[in-house]
Amino acid sequence: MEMTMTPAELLNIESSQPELTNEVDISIRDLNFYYGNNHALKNINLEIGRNETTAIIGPSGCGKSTLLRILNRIYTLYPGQEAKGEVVIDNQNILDPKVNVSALRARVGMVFQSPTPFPMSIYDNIAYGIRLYEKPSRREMDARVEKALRSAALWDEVKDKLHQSGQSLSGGQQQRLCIARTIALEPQVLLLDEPTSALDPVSTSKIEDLLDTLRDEYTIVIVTHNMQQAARVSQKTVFMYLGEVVEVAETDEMFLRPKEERTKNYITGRFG
Amino acid sequence: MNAVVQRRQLANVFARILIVAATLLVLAFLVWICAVLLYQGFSAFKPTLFTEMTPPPGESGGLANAIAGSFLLVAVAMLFATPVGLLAGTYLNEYGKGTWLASTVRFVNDVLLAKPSILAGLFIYEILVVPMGGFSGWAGSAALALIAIPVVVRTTEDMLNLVPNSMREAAYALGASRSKVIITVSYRAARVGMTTGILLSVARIAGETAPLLFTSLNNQFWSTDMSSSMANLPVMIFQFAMNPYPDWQALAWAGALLITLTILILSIISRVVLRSANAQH
Repeated sequence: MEMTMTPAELLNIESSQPELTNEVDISIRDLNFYYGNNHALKNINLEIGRNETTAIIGPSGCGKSTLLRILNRIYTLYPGQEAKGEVVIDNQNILDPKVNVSALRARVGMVFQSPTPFPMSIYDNIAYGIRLYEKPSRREMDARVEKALRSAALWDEVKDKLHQSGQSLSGGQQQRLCIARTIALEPQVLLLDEPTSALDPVSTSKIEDLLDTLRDEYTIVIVTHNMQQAARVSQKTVFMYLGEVVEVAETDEMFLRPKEERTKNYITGRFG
Repeated sequence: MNAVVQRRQLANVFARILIVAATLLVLAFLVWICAVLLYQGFSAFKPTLFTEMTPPPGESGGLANAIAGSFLLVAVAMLFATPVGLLAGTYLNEYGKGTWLASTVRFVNDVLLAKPSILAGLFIYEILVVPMGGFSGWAGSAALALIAIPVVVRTTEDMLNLVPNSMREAAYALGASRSKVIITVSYRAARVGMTTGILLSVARIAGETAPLLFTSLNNQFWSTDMSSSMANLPVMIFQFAMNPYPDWQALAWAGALLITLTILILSIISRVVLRSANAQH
């Protein structure tokens, strides 16, 4: 692999595509997922729009994290997990075994439920991902680390201690560090798996504000248990139940006038 | 006060007395051993221990050849045991998790961990000493390595197992390959514990006598030739302590103190390293 090529170049993707509204970024077609014999996702069909935030909600065990973990193929780390169907990003079915997962994950970044800073300095945490693909000069690396930390609204808090351990930060700062680490690769899609469920309310609102600003540049898919959060940060909401997509709608529409009975019951707190 | 509460408090006092008594009993023997060792060891301790060879009966001498021999035997043993142990431990936690091979290896390793150390000596005697036609430093190191490897394997696996899986997933999610994740994230997160495991295995083999009796034996003279029999502290202690000559017995005490202090220092170093590394995070 050429170290100097960006992931987008590796896959022959034109990075200067015009920004269209209502453009579809990810198309999921007839997707089924199995944990061994357990049929966890059933015939999922879903389109995720470019540069908008899609929230996936639903009770525990409904398959929302599972769906998210298919989009960067991180499920393939574990034997016995299998996805069938198509997930198309930029005219490419990413479930095709020939797809280079490393290049895919550079395009589709992921932030996890609990903050996962690596046991190294704040600076190296950000540089870690960049170094997997490129060898920029010292000065360029400094600039990219700063840019990523600024985009994640963390720069002002850490600029004087870039060489301290990333694990010395508070939980909320650690989670923004993880977001910075992910966007340092300039991905196209940002997957967030309950990114604030381990954080206090102040840190949570900082991350939500951050998601608002990131939407201009990234397609965001967020899994959340918190329906208020879905309402605050997303434009589109997907309600999942027992491994199926029950309803997809504009977020305002979904919370004001849900069409399905099950959606209504869930968002009014009758189950889940 | 009601009867139930009273009975509970009585049971509490009774249990506490038993626990304290058991602790004191253990401590008493430990203190006794240490006191005798310190008293006898320090009265035989003199600078010539490090410069003179082990003497014939009736003459004065030191432990220079035994100290150098022990150092060489342990160093060569760890040169073998460290890479093998680290790699096997890495396999168990990072590659083989949940596989038939890994559970078998883990089970066999646990058996090796608990085996009497004299078995390591007899085994190496059969496969190295007999074919090579004599006792040697190589055989001694091989027997010691056989004891150190399971310790390193076990601590490496345990320490890697403590690294949260979410941290590995985060590295994979950036597109890192498996080997990259292991080296740059798992090892980095577990390095203090892994180093401690290596130091502890050094402490474990530094005092082993039984495996050396059949392999390296002993040598009254200065020798750094690994292919002939080699002096070492544990066997020297074993031989000198069983003899009637007071000079030899004194040297055995000094040697015992030396080994104990070395192990103590290694344990302290590993604790300090562990603490300062934990303080960083």
